[in-house]
Amino acid sequence: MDNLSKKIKFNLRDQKFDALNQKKLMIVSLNSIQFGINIKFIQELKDLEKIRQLPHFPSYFMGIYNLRNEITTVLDLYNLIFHRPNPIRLVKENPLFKSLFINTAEESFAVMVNDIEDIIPISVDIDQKYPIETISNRISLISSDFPVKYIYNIYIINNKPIIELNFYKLIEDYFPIYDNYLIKEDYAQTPSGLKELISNQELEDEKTNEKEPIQIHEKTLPEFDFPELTESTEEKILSLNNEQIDALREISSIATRKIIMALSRLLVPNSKIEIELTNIGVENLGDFYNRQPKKDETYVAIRAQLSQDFHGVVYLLISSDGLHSILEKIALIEKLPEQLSDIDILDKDVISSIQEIGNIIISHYCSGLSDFLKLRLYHQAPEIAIGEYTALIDNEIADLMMNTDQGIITETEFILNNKSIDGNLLFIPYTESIPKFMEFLEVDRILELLDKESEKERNPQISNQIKQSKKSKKSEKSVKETKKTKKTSKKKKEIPPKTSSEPIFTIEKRIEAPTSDSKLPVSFDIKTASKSDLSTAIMNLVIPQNQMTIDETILNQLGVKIKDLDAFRELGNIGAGHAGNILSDILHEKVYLEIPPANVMTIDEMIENFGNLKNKKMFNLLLQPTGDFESYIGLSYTPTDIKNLMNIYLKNGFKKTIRKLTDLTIKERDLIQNLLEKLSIEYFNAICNFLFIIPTETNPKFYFRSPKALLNKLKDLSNLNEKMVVVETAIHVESQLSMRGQFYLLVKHNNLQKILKIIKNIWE
Amino acid sequence: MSNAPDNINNRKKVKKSIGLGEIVFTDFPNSYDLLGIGTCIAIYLYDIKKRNYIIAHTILPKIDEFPGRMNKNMPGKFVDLAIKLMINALIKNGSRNEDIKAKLVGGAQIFQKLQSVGIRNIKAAHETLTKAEIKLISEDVGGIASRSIIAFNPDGTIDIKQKKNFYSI
Repeated sequence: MDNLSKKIKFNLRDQKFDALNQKKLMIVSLNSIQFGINIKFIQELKDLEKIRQLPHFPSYFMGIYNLRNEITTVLDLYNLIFHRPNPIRLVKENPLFKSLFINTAEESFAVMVNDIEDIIPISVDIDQKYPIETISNRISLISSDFPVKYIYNIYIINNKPIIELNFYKLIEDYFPIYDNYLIKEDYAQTPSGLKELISNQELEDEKTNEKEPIQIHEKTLPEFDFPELTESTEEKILSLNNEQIDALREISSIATRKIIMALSRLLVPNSKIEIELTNIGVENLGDFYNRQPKKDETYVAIRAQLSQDFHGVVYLLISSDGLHSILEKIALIEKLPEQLSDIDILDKDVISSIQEIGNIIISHYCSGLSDFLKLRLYHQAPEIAIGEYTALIDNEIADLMMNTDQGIITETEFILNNKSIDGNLLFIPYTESIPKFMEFLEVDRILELLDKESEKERNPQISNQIKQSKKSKKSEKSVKETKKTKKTSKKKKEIPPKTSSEPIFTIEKRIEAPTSDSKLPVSFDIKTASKSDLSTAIMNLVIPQNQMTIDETILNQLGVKIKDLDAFRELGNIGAGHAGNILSDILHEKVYLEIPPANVMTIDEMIENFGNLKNKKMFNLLLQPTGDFESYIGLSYTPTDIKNLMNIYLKNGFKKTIRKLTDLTIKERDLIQNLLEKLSIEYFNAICNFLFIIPTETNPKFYFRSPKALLNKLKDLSNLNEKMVVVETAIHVESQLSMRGQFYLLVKHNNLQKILKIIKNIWE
Repeated sequence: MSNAPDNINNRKKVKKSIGLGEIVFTDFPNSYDLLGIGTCIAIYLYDIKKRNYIIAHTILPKIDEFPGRMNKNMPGKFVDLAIKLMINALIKNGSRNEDIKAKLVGGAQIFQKLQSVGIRNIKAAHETLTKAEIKLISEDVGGIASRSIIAFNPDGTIDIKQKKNFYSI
C-alpha cells in the first residue's frame, strides 16, 4: 500500500507541471545524445565522487553514494533508457560523468549523465498539449534511436527538436525493484538478504492484492459503493474431491485414447501423436480466461455442444501453426495460406478438411465418454470460427457466468511427433448439468466400469490408483451415500427407464441409462415423445456397442477386420456431419449426431432391427450411386418426425397429420423430397470428398413405404442375400419434439475391398 | 540473487492486458491493451481536460437480469454497473459529466449457433450511457469477427486490429 501511495504522489506531481503550462527543461547529454529532463525532478547536481560499486547487481546499477550521510543509489541513465551499457566506461572519478540527483516524492536517487548543456524554459502551447499528436508528427525529426516509449513530448526550439524524457515511464519500469532493495542501507552490508526481502515484498504485494478487490493502477479509485446490491454469499462453491478428479482424469484419458486411434489412422504413417491432459478440475472462470494466451495470434476453433444425458461443450482450438503441422500430414498444405485471418478466404477443401478433423476428434471424444460411462450423449454438428484465442471462448465464458463463476474444465494438449501443437481440447460441462455429471463421476460406478473394461484390455495403474484412493477415503464417506448409490445402481439394472407406456422395443437393445429418465435434462420432452410411439421406437433403434457381437468368422468370410469397421463408421460420421450442417443452416436450430458402430448384417436382420417400425410407412430417400463408390444410401423419417421438421422449416405453417401420401399437396411432397434429397446427397458428397472420389450419378428415389417393403424390394432387385457392412447414423434436431432422421449406408460384399483400399490409400 | 536482472527484464516488457471484468483507472492508457475481444465489450471513458482515463472489460449486459451474480472481484462484469462505477470514479476525480466521452468496442458474434450476448451487451451500454447523459463519440461493435485493441490513446482514440486491418476510432 505504501508503495502505491508513493506512486500516486509521484504521478500527481507529474500532472501538475502541465497544468501550469510552463516548465523548465534541463538539457543533458548522454554519449552525444541530447534530451531534456523536467527540472522539477532534479534535486541537485554534483560532480562524480566516490561511488561504492557492488558486485552481482544489474548493469544499470552503478553503485551507492554517500550524500550527507544518506545512502543514495546511483543509476546509469544511458543503460536505463537504451538497455545497453554506456560506451563511455565508468572509471573512477571520470570527469565525463556528472551525477544528477533526482527526487521523486519520498525517495531520491542519482542518475549519471555525461554532461549538462543548458536549462531552457518551455511554455506549453495549446497545440503541444497532447503529447501523442506532437510525438507522432515530430518523431521523424529525431536522428537518434531514442525509445519512443520514453518520450514525453518533443519541442522545437531554435529549429532543433528537443526530447522531453518521460521520467515517470522510465521509473515505472524499474520502480518495483528499485524500491525494494536499492535504497535500503542494510543491503550494502548484507546483499545476501536480498532474496528474502524480495520474497517478503512479494508476499506483501500478494496480501495487498487480496485486500484490494478493485484493481487500482497508478491512481486511487474512489471506494466503489454497491448500492442496493447484495453479493451472492450463498453461492455454492464447487469442489471436486481427489477421487472425483481421478475419475475425471481416467474418463478423459479413455476418451482421448479414442482420438489417438482415430487420428493416427488419418495421419501419415510414422507420425506419432500423443495427447496429454494438462489441466483438470474446478477453476474460476475469470482466472481461466485471464491465463489464456493473450497473443495476437489467430486460432481456429471448432465447437460442438453435447446434449442428452448431460449437457456441455467441447472446444478444439488450434493455432495456425499447429493447423499447418497437422494438415501437412494429410498433404493439403499447398492450399493453406500462411496467415489465417478469415474463414472466407480459406479454400473450400481446407475448410472441409478442418471440419473433418474437428468432426473426428470431437465425435471420438464424445463417443469415448458415452461408451465408457454408458450414457447417451449426442453432439451438435461442429462449427468453425477463426479469431484470437480469448475472442473464441468469451461467449462461452459469458454464458457460463450467467449461472456461476466457477466451472469444471478439462484441458488436453496434442503432441505431434514430439512437438507440442499450440492448442487445446476443452471440455466444459454446463452448470445445470454439473450435479448430474458428478453423479456420473461416482467412484463406485467408475470402478465397476473400470473392472469391466479391464477384462478386455486396460492400463491397470490408474484404476489401481483410484481403488487405493477410494480405500483410504472410504471410511470418510458417509454410509448413507454409498447405500444410496448402491440402491440406484441396482435400480439401473432392474428397471429400464420409462419412456413409453408400451414396451415396443426389447430391453436388450436399450442403452442402459444410469438413472430414471424423469430426472434427465433431456432436450426433448419424454411425455410428448411417448405419444408418438414411432419416433420413440426409432430413437432406440440404434444398437449400442457393448451389446454388439460380431461373429469373427463372418468377418473373415468378408475379408474384413473389426478395425476396418471403424473406418466405415468414420464415413458415416463424416457424411452425417455435413448433412447435419446443412440441416442446421436450413432450420437455424442445433443438430445433434448419433453415431453407433458399423455392423455386419443381412437385409433381413436389418429389417428386424427396425423393430415395430418395420411395418410402418416412412419417408425414405434412397441413393444408388454407381462408379467407384457403389453402395446404397438411405435416409428415413417417420411421418411424425417429418411433420415436426416441416413445422419448423415452414415456421409453424404445417399442422397436418400424415397418414397417407395423399394427405400432402404436391408442393409439400416436393418440399419434403427436396429436403431429404439435399441431405442425402450432401451425405454422399462429403464421403466422396473424403475418399477423393468424383461423385457420380446418384439416382435419388423417393418412397413412402415401410422399411420392410423397401428393403425387401431392394433385396429382390439387387440379389442382396449375403451379409453387408451397415453404417447407421442418426441426426436429431434439438427441440421438444422428436425430429430424428436415420441414415444408413450399405456397402455390398464385392465392393468392400475396393472401398477399404481407397481408405487405406488415403490414410497412407 | 542472479535472478534479479531477469526479474527486471520481465517487468519492463510489453503492455499490460486488462483482465476479464477488470476496471482500470489510469493516466497512461496507452500502457494497456486488450487483445482478442469477442462478445465482451471494452468501454473507454475519458476526460482529456483532466487527463482522466478509465477502461472496463465487461462481459454481461445488466445486473438486474442476473440477480445475485455480483462478484466484487470483478467490478466490470456487468455493462451497466461498470459504466456507473466508471462515471462515479471520474466525477470523484474532478471530471464534469459533460466532459466525459465514451467509446465502445466489441460485441461480436463469433459462433453463429451460440446465442450471442454481444448484442445485448451493446444495447445495455447504449441505454446506460444515454441515461447517464454521456456522449458516445464513436463505436466499433457487432459483426461476426473478433477485434483486438492495440492501444488506448491519451487523445481518446482507440487503435484496433480486425482480421488484417488496422484502424482507429
